[in-house]
Amino acid sequence: MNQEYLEILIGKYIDGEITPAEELMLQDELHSNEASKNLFEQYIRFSQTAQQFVQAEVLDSGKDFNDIFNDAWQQSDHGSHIRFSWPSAKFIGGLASGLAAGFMLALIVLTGQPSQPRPTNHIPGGEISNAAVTPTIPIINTQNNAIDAREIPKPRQTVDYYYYTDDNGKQYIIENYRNSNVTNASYDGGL
Amino acid sequence: MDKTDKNSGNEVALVCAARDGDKKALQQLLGDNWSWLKGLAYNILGNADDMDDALQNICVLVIDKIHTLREPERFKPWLATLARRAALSWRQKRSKKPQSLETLADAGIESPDRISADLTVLDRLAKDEQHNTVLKAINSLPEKYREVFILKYVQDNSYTEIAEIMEIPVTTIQIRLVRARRMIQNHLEGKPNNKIPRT
Repeated sequence: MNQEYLEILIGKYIDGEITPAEELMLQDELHSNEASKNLFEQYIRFSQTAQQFVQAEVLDSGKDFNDIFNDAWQQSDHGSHIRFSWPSAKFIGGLASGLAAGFMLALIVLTGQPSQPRPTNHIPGGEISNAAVTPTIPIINTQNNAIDAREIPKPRQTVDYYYYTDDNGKQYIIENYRNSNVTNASYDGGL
Repeated sequence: MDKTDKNSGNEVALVCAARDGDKKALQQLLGDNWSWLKGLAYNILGNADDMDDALQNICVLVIDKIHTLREPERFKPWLATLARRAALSWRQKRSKKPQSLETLADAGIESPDRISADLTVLDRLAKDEQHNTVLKAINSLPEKYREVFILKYVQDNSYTEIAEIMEIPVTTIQIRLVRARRMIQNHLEGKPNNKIPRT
């Protein structure tokens, strides 16, 4: 048996980590080799002494653990940190999808609403009134000055409109197509 | 479930409680690991005089940073890394700090606590001399061998426990212990220690 392997076996024996098979090998070596036996006894004596001295030097000196811990606890800023724990991926995923769905719904609902009528402003030579207010005088067609008997048009998604009354009392309907709107294609049948 | 698994399960539960600010859980955690923690600090500082201050710094760091530990089962290696850094930092600060003449004068005097009351004066002197000689031989080891040696002898930790603390394989622990013992023996016998192997 070579020196290094012998020392490994002796070390494992001293440390209580030797297997039964290795212990048999070690015993055979110690019985048959006097130098190995001397080395074994030397290491055993040294280990006992070293353990005693190391424990005395390290463990038996200094303050008691509880005193050190209590001093450290007072010195630290324990509990002052706000611990943020990351929520689970499921929760984050659910929250994100809920927000996205809500946003989409809000977008659809808002774009479907008629535009709010413009607030009334005073324009020199006339006034603008809310489109939502039903006019009490007939609507005059600006092209032929004929009284337009059409009903007040229903609100349309792509058009803003309002009524304008001039100084002579004539009322006009002013329409303004929104530039940014995209109108959906529609098929009315008949093809 | 064997003893090791039961202990590690308890330790994980304690770590979880400590992360939530439980003082008693943290105190028990540190108390259970105190022996090898002292050994680690002693290994880096080289003497027992500054250990209390260094250990208090380590405790403060653990208390402040326990909430950052994401894997409770890795508490021991995490604690070891924190302790090494704190002890190294303390050692650097101490080396810059000028020492008073009193401290230097007292450095050579042995602590009376170590002397057994049962021995005669001559026996005590012989024991002290042997104590100092052995400690000197241990302190002469290269750091990686000294660390394994102290962790083994301070608490009779198993190879597996030391491997967990140092995050190295068990076979490396075995080899380093063998070489540490050989180097100490050579030192005590006055023989030169040859070229240090890489393991």
